[in-house]
Amino acid sequence: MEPSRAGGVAVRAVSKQFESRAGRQTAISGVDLKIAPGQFVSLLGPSGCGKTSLLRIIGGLMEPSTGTVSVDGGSVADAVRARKFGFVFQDATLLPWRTVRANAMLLLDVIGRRGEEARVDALLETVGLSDFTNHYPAQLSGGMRQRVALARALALDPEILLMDEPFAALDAITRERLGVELLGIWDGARSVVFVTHSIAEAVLLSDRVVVMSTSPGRIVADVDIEIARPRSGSVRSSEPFKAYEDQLRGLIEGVRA
Amino acid sequence: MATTQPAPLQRPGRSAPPPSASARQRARRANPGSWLLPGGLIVLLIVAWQLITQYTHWVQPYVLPQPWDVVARMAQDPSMLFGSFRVTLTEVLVGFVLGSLIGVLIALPIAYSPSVRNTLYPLIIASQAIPKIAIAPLLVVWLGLGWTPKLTVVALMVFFPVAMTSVQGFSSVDRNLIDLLRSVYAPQWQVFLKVRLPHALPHIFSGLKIGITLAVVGAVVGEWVGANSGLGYLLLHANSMLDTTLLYASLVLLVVMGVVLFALMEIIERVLMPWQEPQRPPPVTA
Repeated sequence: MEPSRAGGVAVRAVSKQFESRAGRQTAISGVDLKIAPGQFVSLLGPSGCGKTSLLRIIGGLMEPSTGTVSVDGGSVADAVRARKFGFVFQDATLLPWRTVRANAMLLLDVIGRRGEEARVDALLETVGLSDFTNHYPAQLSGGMRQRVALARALALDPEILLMDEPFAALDAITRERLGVELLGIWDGARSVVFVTHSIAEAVLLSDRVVVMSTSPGRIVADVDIEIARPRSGSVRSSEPFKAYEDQLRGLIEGVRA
Repeated sequence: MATTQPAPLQRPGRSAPPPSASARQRARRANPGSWLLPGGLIVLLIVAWQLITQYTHWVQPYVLPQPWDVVARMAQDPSMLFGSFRVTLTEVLVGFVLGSLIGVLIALPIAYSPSVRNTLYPLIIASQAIPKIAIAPLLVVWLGLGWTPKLTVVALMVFFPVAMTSVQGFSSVDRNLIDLLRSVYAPQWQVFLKVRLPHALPHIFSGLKIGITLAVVGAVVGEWVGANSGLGYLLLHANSMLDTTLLYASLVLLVVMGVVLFALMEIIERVLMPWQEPQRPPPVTA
């Protein structure tokens, strides 16, 4: 893997409480997490374990109640201003009036970065959409829309890619295929924080899987996935892969018990 | 550096390029079937009306004149009828533009600020609870007999649906999309211009389409309380003279005005928002 430029994240003693009608809810509690530049880290856990909250706090969309987050030694707000983050959400949230290419360029457009059409076209080719650059979102399948959302995030050339269950809304077959494709698309030149509740997806993609538990959300395990890269889809039938799956499943079930 | 290439995609739809805007418009125009049924029904009703009034004595002519007589009346005195038409049309258009502008502009602070929304909503809804016909005479007292009271009534009728649908449009942007734009520190005006406004357009247009038909009603109401020209005035005048053919002639012109303006709004909507296209090629599967 190539050495990366930057994109290190340090989460220190972060907690997040929400006020709700049922009273004060603790989404995450006392989370410490260090992500090295260029590392692919998955946050794995059941619904309600606060993995999405943690992702949003890292990306500056949410303030922690206590604790701090730093990015490359600076504050999250500085990192947002420096446009270091690229988000991909569960829904593609494409603009129906923009073509695939124009959607991929949206974020560059709104921040006034011009003249990068060629690079965006190259990205669209990487995600397998070069024949669809002039299509509208309504003409695409769910999987293709999510590819556009990925290209839109990559178009910023972000140091940290934040993905919140990006394939969760897709059917199982498309989901697996996109997971394998992401292996090929991720160049190791940026860090990735990948929220998922799929054990197989986490093992396939990650350098490291952080297992979280529910109520309150906290980190219960941090597992390095030592499967050599480059990986391909066939790695899923290998012994080490299954061993990691079993280990993570055990950790999650231990949490639930 | 990973060397795995993305798996090849299945592209069953790749032989069909996306249709160009003009091709899509042509496809839409080449569908006369949608006009056949409603058009046929209207023709059928008019023919029945003509036959009943011409060959039976079920209704007196001063209650229901023959359609043909109404047309003849229009041809007989075109300058008066079309002069009135022009006056009312001007009131409708100017009042509509004013009311829509106010509606959209008032929707902006409401959509952006919950406290403004809470402050203005009761007032706006109260302004709609008052029947326009009830305050129209008051407007004449305040504003005199010129254009202003008529334009005010029209604008009052139009601004409400436009404001309500615009608020809905400006606030209906997907939460994730707004988060995405926040995450790249996008300037607010860029977000408004490139996301919120286009996102709100279909909503605004549904308000404008309601508004344009209400504008015609508003103009007539405005003319009823104090005017010496316009189709609404002509309507009252004909009524007082028991001149039913003239009354129907004015009514027909009002209906034509309303329908044509509504159709015009739909055309503008389609030109501005070709992506709101009902006829789309089937989705390509990946």
